[in-house]
Amino acid sequence: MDAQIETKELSKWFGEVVALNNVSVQIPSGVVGLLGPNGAGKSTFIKLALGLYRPSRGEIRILGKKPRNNFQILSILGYCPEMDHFVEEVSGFEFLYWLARYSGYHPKAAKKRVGDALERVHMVERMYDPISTYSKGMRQRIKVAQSLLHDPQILFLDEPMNGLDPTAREELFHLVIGLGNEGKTVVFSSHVLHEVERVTDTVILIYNGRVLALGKIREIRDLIQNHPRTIVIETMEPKKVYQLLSSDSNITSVNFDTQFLTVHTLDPLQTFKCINEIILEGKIPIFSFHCADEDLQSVFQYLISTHIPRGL
Amino acid sequence: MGIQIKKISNLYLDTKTSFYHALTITLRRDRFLLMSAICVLPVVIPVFVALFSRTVFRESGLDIFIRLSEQIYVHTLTPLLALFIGLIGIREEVDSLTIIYLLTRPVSRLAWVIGRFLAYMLIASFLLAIGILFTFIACVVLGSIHIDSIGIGMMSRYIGVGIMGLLGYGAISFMLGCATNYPIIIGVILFFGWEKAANFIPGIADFWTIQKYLDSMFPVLASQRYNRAVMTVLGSFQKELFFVSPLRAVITISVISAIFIFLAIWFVLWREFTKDRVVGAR
Amino acid sequence: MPVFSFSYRPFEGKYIRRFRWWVVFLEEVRLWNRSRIFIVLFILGMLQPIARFIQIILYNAAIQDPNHPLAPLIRSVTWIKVDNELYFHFIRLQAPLVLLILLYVGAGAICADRKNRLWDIYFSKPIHWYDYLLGKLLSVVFCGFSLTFFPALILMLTDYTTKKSSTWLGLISYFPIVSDSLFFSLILVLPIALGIIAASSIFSTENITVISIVTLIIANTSLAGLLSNFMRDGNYMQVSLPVAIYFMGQRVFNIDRNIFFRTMDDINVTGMFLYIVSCCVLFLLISIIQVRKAEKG
Repeated sequence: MDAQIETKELSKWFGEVVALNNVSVQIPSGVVGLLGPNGAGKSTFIKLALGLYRPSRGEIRILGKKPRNNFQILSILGYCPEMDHFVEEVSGFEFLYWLARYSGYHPKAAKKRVGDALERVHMVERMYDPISTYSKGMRQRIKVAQSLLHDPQILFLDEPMNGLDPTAREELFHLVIGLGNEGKTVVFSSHVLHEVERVTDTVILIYNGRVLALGKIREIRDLIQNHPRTIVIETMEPKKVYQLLSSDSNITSVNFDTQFLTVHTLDPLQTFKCINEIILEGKIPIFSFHCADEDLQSVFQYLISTHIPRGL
Repeated sequence: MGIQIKKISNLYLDTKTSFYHALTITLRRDRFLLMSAICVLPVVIPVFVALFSRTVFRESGLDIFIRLSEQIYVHTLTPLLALFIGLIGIREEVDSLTIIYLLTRPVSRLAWVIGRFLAYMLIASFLLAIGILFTFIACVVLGSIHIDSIGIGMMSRYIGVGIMGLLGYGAISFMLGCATNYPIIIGVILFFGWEKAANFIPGIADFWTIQKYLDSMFPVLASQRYNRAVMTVLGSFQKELFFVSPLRAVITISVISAIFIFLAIWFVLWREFTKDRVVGAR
Repeated sequence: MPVFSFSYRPFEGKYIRRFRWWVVFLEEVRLWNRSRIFIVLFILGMLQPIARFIQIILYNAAIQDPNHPLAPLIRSVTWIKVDNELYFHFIRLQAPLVLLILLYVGAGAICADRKNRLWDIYFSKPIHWYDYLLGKLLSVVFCGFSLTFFPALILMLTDYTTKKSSTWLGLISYFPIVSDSLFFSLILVLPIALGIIAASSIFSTENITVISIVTLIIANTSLAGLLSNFMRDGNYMQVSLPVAIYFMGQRVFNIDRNIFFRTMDDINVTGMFLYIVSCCVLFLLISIIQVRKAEKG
């Protein structure tokens, strides 16, 4: 794995509060979702990666180099912050123009880059209006535009979907996926699971300052050995199906409905085998069956529920 | 801490960008207008004296110009300009958190601070010079001071002393803006508390003030300032003042400024300016 | 479309129909009294009341007991005497700290709400601009009074209780001092509080608010001082707001010492009072305009 971002025992604390605790991860290129509830440590992680914070312990390296006050590294990083602060009196164009100048572009080139970036987020029409007159969504677009100004190789988007309308969200989803396809590294932070699922299948799950898991969603799923899975079977006779399945000792609980039987099992492979046998026997018609908890929400909730009692 | 030294050409470009950015932002602020008004306000004094003073013992134009230049422009407006334009300029970026947009750009911190400082110096010097110039012209009307080489020389010297004051106070203000969370309170206490109080403390406490060196640059015989009457609750006493030559004063203020600007740069490199701390932290 | 028989539970509490500013006031007080810096400043502000408290106890003990070892010393020192002048000097000496603390608590009162977009939240509740402004203003005034008038009252009470000859009727003799202290505290605290609130409603950050107030005070006083020096045929020191406030305090407490003015003849007391009042009205108008603008969105 060609690690673009690498951390070793990275920790950050503010007084007595540990924001990030002993994080050792390697983030490859492509789109990576940084997932966790509010206050999990996502923003702290991003700020450490950008060199805005000094690690309290451990280290973080971007392309093998420490990012803090490192101008070479900063020139390939883009950042869309979560917070909503601007120089309110200036126009969106001017705000971006000076940031482009700080990125090293000469006036003419800076204006061109700003125009391109604003076009990418569909803000050309309002670009000369003061930022104070922008709506929440427009401000969000300006933040995204400034992060794209200098065509960064690694992009950190800290909850970029906040305040965007459905159309803008869709556009941003496409933009992020496109950047990933171009070979750029995009760290996409969010606490909304389906947002992350839309743009990537690679996630880092953060909770209480610790990394719970890192990898493909399915790989993470497979790591969970004893996680009881929920299988929903669609049949006209759910009680009879259960009677046939009752020999499977892995089943921990069941729920009946008029057409559905929901089964919680410790070994889904064994249970699937039993269901197949019932279908092959052909005594009771089974219309369909599927695993109900394979989405990210379930994985996340499972990881949290199993890790919290261990004193995280 | 790894301070990476960029090429000189990049440093120059970064400084230029920071300078123009600070200039365009500051010039459109309300506080620039307020400070401009305050800088030309002393002009009303000679005008007022010329129009309304009926006494035969009124002060001459020369006296009024000297006192306005020293007491208002150099002792009062110089530190105020440093706080109002210098300190607030840099603090605004920190308070509004727009600084993180800058800190995530490949811009040299050294160039950023110096660019901002140069912009502050240009704006503040311009306001101060315009104020002193208008006051000079108004005082000429009152007589005993003329628009000749002596008069213009004196005015230029006061402008020069004012600019040196802006340099010294500005550098301290920049350092405070970068280093502390309550720079204004500390700045006011330092510039209007300590700087004034040190003049009344026997000994050489006044050497730890900018005002001491500015006073040494004034175009009046330094011997007149050897002693100062200090009145206290317990009685009055004469405080002996030690002489500093104008050249030494200029060098001292330049060194002080360089040290504080360096400290400001160091704080920008060292501090974590993002305020949004982790959940639960205080 | 389904029609639900149950909706949200009705509110069972009591709506506040009047004194809605009280909520804003409480919120503001709650905000600053938790700050460590405020506590430090407040402790500093309490040093003088404590010193005065000791002074009153010592003086009353010595003056009422001829055999007290400290009696001759205390009688010989004029400034230790407990009379109406003590309360004047007490409030006067509190002024710099009052300014500092009020700047700390009041500078962000309105501008921080604007910066943090709290206006939308405040004005989405049944709170009018006058409730909001009154709550903010009274919290700052309350803070100022807690360093001037309230400690002065406690000092008077201390004086009354430590006097051996105190009777219930003796309390009446304190009414003039109470009213004088109230008036001086009001004339000291109200213009500062209104000025800070007005500046806070105009400027974008606490720092700019603080420096603007400091600039105006210094510029106003310096120019008045110089004008007074140059214009020898008039008492132009009256133009300085801090001096006007100080002088009004002197007048209220009937203290005839002349500190700022060459002569006392051409001082226009009514004019000075009106000057302070007009400054207050101006500050209030600025605040009202800004807050009403905010309410309208």
